[in-house]
Amino acid sequence: MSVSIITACKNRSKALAVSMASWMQFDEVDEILVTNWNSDESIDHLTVLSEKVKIINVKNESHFNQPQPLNLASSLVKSEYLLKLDCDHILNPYFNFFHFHKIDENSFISGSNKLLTGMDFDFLHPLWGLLYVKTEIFKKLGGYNENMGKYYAVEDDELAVRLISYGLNPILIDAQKLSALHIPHSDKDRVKNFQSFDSISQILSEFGKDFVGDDLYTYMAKLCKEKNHNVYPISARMMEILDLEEKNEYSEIIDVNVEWYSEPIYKWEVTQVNDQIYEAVKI
Amino acid sequence: MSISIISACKNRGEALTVSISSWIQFDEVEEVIVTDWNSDIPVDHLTRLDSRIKIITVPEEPYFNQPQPLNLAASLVKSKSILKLDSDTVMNPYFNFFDHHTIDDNSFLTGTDESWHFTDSKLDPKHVYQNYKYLKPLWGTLFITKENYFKIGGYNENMNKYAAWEDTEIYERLLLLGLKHVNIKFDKKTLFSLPHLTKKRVEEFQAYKENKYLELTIREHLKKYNNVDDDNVVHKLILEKHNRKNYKKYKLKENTGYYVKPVVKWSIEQTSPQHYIAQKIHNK
Repeated sequence: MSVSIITACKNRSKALAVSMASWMQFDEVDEILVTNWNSDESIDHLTVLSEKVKIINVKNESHFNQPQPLNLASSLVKSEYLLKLDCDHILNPYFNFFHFHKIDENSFISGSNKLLTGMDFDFLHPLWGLLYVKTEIFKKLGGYNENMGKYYAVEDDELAVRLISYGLNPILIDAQKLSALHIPHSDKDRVKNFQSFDSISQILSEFGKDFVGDDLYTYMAKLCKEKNHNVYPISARMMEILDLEEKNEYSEIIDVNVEWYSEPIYKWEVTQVNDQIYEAVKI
Repeated sequence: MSISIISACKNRGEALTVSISSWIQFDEVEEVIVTDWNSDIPVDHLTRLDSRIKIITVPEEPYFNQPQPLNLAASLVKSKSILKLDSDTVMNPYFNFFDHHTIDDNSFLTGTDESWHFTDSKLDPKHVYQNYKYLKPLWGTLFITKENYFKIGGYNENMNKYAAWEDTEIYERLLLLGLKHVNIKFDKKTLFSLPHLTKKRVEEFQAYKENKYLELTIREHLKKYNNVDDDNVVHKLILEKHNRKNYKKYKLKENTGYYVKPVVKWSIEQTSPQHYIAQKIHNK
């Protein structure tokens, strides 16, 4: 098996150093492609962890989003399978993710999963954004929807819906196999780097709502999801689409008929600096 | 603040690679001292991750235990305080452990907490054991001043045959010394453990390797009387047996003192700025 891990990072280098130390240990993983989206501090030093690690540096981007850096990373993928992880997803070295999760040209695994909403919430629920799919199919669909970037969240469900529409069978993460886990963090960390952060902060302060601690950012994350759901209403119905039974199987997949191709907006000029470092500039 | 992390490892290199990558993210950590207790695949390459990491290799030890390698690591500590972590305990880079946990000359911290339930008010109350697999193994965490650590003789090196209880034993002796116990603030999520099978807890210990009869008996009993054929349940019962063995022998009794004299003396050779080799000095 040959797998490329892709991830997008802006100012998460400490978490990435931990998670990447787990990813590199699996023989199934050929390469790890990280798009460093204009982090305040360089993450080039992380290449010392393993020869598998490749960093693509993108400068002059003031706000974070997931689709653009992920599609950019995917453009360099060489392996047959692509595993998208968030930069704070750990692959547990005690339980091999790839032993418990198998896909082929007719299936994919995404974290969209009602079973993640209960037990061990902090460590499992944020695996929602994980995606495991054949590279060829990912590229055929145009990857993540690059129109989505202003607001945090939902780009993962949007792509899952298109993969189903394309004809693939979704497979659930078997979360209780404990082969993957998430490093807990605040909701502020979720939303603070997105373009919409300042404008929503201003609206909420004018609105005069009283929030304590991280609750403000939990509410902000909810607003971001609603915004994206308004534009992509089918994505809001993931749990209906995936009508789950207790045995971790989909009893019924509601017929999804949406355009499965999403045309990438941005083209990149990618320059290789050395064996492990690249620079990319928008054309 | 100046802190040395100590840890003991035998054949946990994969987990240690992840956890040590988290420990070195904290400026408060002055050094990380790991005793590699004769792992099949050595972990000395981990020093390239950070100049603060020091590996003490102990060759020719067939069985694992916690007290001896931990006391060996502690003997090299330069900092004022010691933080003992298991090789699969991750320090969350998002929430600084040291911002939420402080000790002084009169206190110490461990994960020993009989009252824990880890409920989360935002979730269904039925999830009583929320995050159990990730937080319960923090029981063995110890944060203490170096002076107090050595005042009690460190971990009890007589406990080297069975897994478990050495953490509770040192907790009891520290209370006896008169120190105040500080709990881990589990809700702050500053630490978590990489979940694993129970077999990992016992498989390198002498009592497990030499007494296969116990495993066989438990396995057959479970099958015959409970219709259970589950390797993890078998090893949970073996671990419980180990725990009870140590509990019976080392549970503090009346008139027990807080000091326990270390059993092992070491010859330590420094082979590079970050590497050491240690061998037991045997009495002639």
